[in-house]
Amino acid sequence: MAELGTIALWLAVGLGVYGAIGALGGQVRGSPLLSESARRAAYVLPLVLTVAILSLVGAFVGRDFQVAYVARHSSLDMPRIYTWVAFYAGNEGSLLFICLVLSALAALALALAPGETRRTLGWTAAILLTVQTFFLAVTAVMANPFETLPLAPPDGEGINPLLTHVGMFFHPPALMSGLVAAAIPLAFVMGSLIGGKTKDEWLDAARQWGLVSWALLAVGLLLGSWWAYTILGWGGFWFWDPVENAALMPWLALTAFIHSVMVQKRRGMFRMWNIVLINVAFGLALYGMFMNRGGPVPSVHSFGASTLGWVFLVFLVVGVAVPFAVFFCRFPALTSSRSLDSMLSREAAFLVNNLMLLGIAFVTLWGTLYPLLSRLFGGQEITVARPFYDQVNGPLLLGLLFVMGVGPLLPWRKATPQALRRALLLPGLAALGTVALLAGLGMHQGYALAGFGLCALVSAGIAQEWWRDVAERQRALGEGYLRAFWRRTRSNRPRYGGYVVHLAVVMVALGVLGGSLFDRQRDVLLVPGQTAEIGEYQIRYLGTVEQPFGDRTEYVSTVVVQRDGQPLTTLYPWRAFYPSQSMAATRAAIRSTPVEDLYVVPSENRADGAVVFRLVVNPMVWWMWTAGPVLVLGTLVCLWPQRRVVAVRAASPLTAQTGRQSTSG
Amino acid sequence: MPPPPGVFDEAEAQSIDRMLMCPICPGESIDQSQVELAKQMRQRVREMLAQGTTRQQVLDFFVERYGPTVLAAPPKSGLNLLAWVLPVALVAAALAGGFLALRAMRRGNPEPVLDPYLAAVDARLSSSNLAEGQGRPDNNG
Amino acid sequence: MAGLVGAALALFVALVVLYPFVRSRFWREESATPKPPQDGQLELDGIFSAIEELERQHRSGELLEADFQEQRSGYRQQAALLLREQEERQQKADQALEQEVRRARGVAEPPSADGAVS
Repeated sequence: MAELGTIALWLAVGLGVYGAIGALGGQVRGSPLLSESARRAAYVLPLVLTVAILSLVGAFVGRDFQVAYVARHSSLDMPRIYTWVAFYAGNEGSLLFICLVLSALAALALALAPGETRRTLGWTAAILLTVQTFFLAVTAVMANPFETLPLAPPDGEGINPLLTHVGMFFHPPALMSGLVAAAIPLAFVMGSLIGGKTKDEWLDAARQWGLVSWALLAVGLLLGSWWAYTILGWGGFWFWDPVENAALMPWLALTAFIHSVMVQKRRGMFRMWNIVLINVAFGLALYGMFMNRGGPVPSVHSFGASTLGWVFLVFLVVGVAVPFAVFFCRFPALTSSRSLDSMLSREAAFLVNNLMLLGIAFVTLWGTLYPLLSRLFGGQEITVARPFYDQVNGPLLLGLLFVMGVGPLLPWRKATPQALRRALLLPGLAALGTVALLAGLGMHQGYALAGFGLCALVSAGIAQEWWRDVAERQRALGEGYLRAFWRRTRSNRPRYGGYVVHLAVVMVALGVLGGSLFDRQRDVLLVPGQTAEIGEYQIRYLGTVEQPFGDRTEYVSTVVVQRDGQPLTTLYPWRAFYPSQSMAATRAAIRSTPVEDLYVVPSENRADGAVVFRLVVNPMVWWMWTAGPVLVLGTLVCLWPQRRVVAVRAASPLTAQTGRQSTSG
Repeated sequence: MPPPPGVFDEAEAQSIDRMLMCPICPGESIDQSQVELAKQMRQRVREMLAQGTTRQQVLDFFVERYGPTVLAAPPKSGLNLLAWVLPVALVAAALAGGFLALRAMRRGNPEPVLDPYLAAVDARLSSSNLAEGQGRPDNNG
Repeated sequence: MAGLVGAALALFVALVVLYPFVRSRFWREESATPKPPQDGQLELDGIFSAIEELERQHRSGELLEADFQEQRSGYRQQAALLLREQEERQQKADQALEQEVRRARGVAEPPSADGAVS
């Protein structure tokens, strides 16, 4: 199986090199045949890489320990279901996976490219194929997963126990896919610019693929937090770890991009700014991959240091320098066509939102790099971790919530005082009412009051706008409310999809506020039969059962939870020991409700059956995990192709023909 | 008012736990980490608090023992002030710059170059509306 | 076995990728894809019909005032940009023509003296 993989991988490298050079040559020499041939290389790459991946999966399933990568990341007694996780547990497999995802997305993007971008598709293909060739060459030369050992060991080393978790099936692939997908909007923008199209040609394609990359990153981040929450055993979900940050930063820049690009679409402004944003987003995505592959900062998530780091560093520098060089070459042709009418307008709010998002990204970057700078220039070793980010980014995140609440309520161009009053009165009152209510109930932390008030502002604003739109249609057409709601939502998907995503962000904010400001935590040592209290819960520890498995021994504790004397539920948190890796893994048992999570995890098993438990009550964290599906739903609403006005018209052949063309505008 | 000896505030202890990094585990605070050393450090924090030691004294004690990297965030003094001030200053500068840029855009004339063309568009639109009003000749083809 | 499958895969890939050259060699078809219109006239017509459609929807109440204004101004802007582009292209073409004429004259004049002889 491994030989087939090797052949397919090198075939893919050849295809990538041919495609990149062919696409470039086709553009430079003006040969449409060569361009088409190169594009076909991009279309068959996913197929070839699928063969490579299948042969690696086959080696895992067949326990072919002759393959070094299989021997290092799996073992005979490993549950077979984790084959898929083991497959990208190391540099080699994950790089192969990245190659496949990028090739599939690139082929899709090239095939679906909307009208205006087709004229410069050759350049876009050249860029995408170059990026792919980089990943393919690195995989084949420096991290080849099909390398074989001279002698097959009888058993493999097994998978890292931390990775045996459901979240691992989706978290790494989503994040890796999101990071590489950032290349696609960039390729559309750069392709248009190099091809001399300096207007809004790339706008729709870049927005759609930017959204895809953004949503993949968001899902990956949420799943990563969920994984950390259930498996790392300390009751939290986010601790500003360098690799978490590395995935967060491109997400922030992409968030700025997908907002700001709407200003360009609606008002023809911010064109240069948007090009800068997508360059920054791609640069940060490359930085994320660099941090992940032997970056200079230690982290629980990284693949470990390796020489790969240097290669990715070089690619990062090139990947930032070239797009900016193109941008500066085209600078004179890029002026936007409109100017601002008023500071109180949605476009102004969008710019503030952009600056805040980039500000948070910068603070995060600064925090990750400062220890290095301090070591290099100050000669002093220091740490920058969670307290720093909490203190600096906290206020910025609150500011972002505020802009998210107010921005969508402001009209484009200019808000008259009456319009402002009509838009902001109810949401403002809702926010103030929430603050007053919570303060009356005895909440006194400024952060919490501001945060919950702003959540109310955002939600009330969205509800108000949506309701007014539906009611207006209902009045005008006399439709039923449900029908009016459905039709209204379909008529402007980007807006209402955006509202849904904003609601998901509010849900995440609730989880973060509750989980980080109101968490209660205790570490207790319990012998069987003993009871501990946390909040209004009584935790009664009954005992621990030892369950031997092939690769591990699980110590499953039984814990009965009562509230005010009423039995509530029984939880089974466990702790497992992996002798082959001399490593322990824990799995928290969580009773999750929209009000609060009760989180029980055994952090130490004594020989006499006594167990040290960490008990945590995390209010409202439930909302954070529920936000994931809502966010995906909102993104899908945004991405669903909008039925264009022109297409409705059953008119003369001429207009029917042109309908397709003007959709790209 | 210092708490009576032997009694300490668990919430305070936990917030100190989160300000101290575990010296032997990459990127984890002693609140998160489950290794023996972290447990001992947590224990030590509680002992010191029970003896009436202040938060700053506890932090200083650990810095003396394990070096400045044990602090989860650099102190807000000396050269390290830069770590705190620079990002805040830059974000403030960016917001101010954005404000100025917007104001400059507002002062600029709203694209006089495009105006004659917009007028041409409007002219064509109103003429076609007129035609439509007269019986929409173009719409049945 | 693996070598065989690999060779088959390589062959298939080569066929797919090199097909355009084979096709052009044996079939010699005229350019398969129709050239996109250069003058933007079709696009302009499309935009105008889109605006008319918008106005129809607005009159019938299907479209909200805010959405209508927003979309209409966007289309209007696009149309103006296209008009300007058209005019610029026209000007460029005129200039090129003029230059051509001038060059033809400049070249033609001295020969015309000669030409009378020949």
